[in-house]
Amino acid sequence: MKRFFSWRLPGTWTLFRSDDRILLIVSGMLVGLASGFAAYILNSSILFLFQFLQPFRANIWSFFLPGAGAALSVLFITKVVKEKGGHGVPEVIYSVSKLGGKLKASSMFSRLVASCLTIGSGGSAGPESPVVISGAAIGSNIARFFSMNERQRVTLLGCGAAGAISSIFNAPIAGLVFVLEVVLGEWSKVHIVPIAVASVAGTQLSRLLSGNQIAFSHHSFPVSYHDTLACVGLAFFAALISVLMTRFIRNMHVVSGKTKLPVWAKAAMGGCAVGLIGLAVPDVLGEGYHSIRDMIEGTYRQGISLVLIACFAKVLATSLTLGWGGSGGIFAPSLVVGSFAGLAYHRLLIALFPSLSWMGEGGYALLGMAGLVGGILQAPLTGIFLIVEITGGYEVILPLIIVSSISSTVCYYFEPASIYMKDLVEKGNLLRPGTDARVLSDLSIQELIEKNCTIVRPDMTLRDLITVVTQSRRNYYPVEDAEKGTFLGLVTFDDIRPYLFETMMYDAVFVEQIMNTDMDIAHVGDSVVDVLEIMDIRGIYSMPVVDVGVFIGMVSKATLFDHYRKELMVQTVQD
Amino acid sequence: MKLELEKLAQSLQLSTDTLERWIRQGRIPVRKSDGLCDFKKDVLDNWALKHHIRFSLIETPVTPLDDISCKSAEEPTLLSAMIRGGVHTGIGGNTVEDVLKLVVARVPMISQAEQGMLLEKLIEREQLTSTGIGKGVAIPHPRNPLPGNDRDAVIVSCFLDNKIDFKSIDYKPVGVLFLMVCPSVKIHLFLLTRISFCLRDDSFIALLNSQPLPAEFYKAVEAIENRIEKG
Repeated sequence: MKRFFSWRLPGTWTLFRSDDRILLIVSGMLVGLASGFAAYILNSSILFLFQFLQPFRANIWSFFLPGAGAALSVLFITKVVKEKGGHGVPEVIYSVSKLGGKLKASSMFSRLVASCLTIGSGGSAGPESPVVISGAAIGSNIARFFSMNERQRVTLLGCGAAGAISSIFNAPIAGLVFVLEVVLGEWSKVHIVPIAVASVAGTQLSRLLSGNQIAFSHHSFPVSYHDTLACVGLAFFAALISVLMTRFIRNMHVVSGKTKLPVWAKAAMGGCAVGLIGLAVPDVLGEGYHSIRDMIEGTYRQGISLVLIACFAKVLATSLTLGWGGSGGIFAPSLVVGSFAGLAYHRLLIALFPSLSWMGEGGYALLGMAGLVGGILQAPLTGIFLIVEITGGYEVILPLIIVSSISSTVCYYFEPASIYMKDLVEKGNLLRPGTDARVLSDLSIQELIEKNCTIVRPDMTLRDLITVVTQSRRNYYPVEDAEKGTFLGLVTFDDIRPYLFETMMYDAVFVEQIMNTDMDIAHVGDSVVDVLEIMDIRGIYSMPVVDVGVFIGMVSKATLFDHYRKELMVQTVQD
Repeated sequence: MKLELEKLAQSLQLSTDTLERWIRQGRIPVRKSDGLCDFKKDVLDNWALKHHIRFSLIETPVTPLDDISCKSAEEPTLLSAMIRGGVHTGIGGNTVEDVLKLVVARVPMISQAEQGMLLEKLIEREQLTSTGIGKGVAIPHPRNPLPGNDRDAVIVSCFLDNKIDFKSIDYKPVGVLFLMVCPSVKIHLFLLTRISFCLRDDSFIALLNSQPLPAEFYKAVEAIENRIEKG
């Protein structure tokens, strides 16, 4: 029987037992292929649905389409698969931080269906976050199937997310960097190799299925010195739009949260509003890759004012779609808004300095995209590598770095946490490996309890207590009721000190007279962070741990430091 | 190899809860199979070295470090130190210095040079304050361990022919000497507390005054020491 089942425990195979790197690389490749395929399916179905509905968009009633799509997607998520809505990426980061990489099996497909309905019907959102959560869920559930531990599961989750992003953009390095920078927040070699393999696997699969020009075609742009200089202005412009878009989406969330309507009705309202905007500016509908393509090619004809209108309309449409409950991500809309911003900036430059020869407008659209990714997602490296891979060369690397870094720095000043992280940070759920918050959240009071305390009785005389003190190695003596065994109080060495040399007092003082009864108490289920905070506020170094009225042990800062140090070393020292 | 969770946790000086969590999180190269911890010793050795975590394999569980009483290999029993020193009678002399000279000659396993040094230090110590602790007993000892002395602690028990004035705290003349030569201050203090415990016992004092035979003397010391250890 055991032999039959051992194929589900690859960790016990001789090849993988001493070192699991090969296991992770092999399974990472499988996960990369699976998530790459999921990304291909979503991309194709969105395209199919979008094109299927295209003939109807000429009609005035077509503004109902995004509303219907968003409402259906919300109904699917809440009623059919019974999940909570959301962008996708924050859920994945939450799972890495708090759940050891666990994701529901239904997440493998739920967001694909929901986002296909939202985006395919015209909602302004991106397919990246849904494929990230699907890919991550594929990785997580494959790891669970093979009984892998949490570290391996997080790696495979990263592999899934990387495979999906790489496949959708045909950009393996961008997938790898996105996962390390945004999802895991950890650059360790244990993760890097399997995730890189998964990225390549995902990319190869999408190339096989849809050719080597998936999202955007390769272009090269000659950059001159005045372009590089002009990029500083573009960076500030991109930062401004990033802050604007982040605040718009968040405020829309707040407004929709206050509206007392069923969630599907809210999504329908948001969707219909997007449909109405779409009647005037059709470029805002869908994930928007088609307009990006036009802008990179240099075939987008509208003038500066129309481009600016389209830019702000896209910001509004995205916040209406996502803020009111539609399913999808923020990545593609940021790319679209970024390219509009870049294009508008290019038109402005030409109007101001018509005699200079500027880099093509497609180049500026790409730089604007990097600026928005750096600003909204706080992921400057992802933006840089994505654009490098799209342009297929390093000509634009200098302006890219300028735009990305300035934009993310300026945005950080106004919005310290990216749109993915803000909720997690506010609820204390963003725990990156090796940080103080992570170490403290991993440790439990149960692990820190010291049980070698000598228990005393309330009716003991001081003489008996001093005999106990001479034989004990601790400075704290918990007092317990002799019959019920309940915790009554604590005697510390400081309480005994005044009577230590007063031998006449030895038989006159009882433990119950000198014990402390109003001290702070920790419970087994308390979080270490809370207990530590109480210790800091009161200026104490030890606390008794009591459970259902019974003394369990002591918890002290000294023991905490010892465990903290071990934990930190285990979390940060690389294998 | 396979080991129970508790044993492996003790080998790594961790709590079982921490070890269990580390296994679940994949932070330690150990797998759980059939309720046992499955690991390769050399892999775990390397891992522990890299993460600065102590690892010495314990096959059978021992009492946790904190539960071990004051007694350890370093601290001998009073009885063993007294047996090493022996019980000596028929010691003459009328002054403290004379007596100490004779007693030092009875200390086993030390060279002539060391004897001279020990005597010097004993006299120096007596000049500081008397080591006569009352009830007719004195415990001459050097202030600090003799340099280079790493031998086991020795207590030479001597019954004097003539009681002499040792300037004791209770002014009583001294008839019994316990000369203490210890390799460390810690052991010296440990043995001193034991002697003082013995001297609190009036029957023990009476026994000393009767100049008992070695066997009888050792038996009494052993009985008291057993009493101390039982608490």
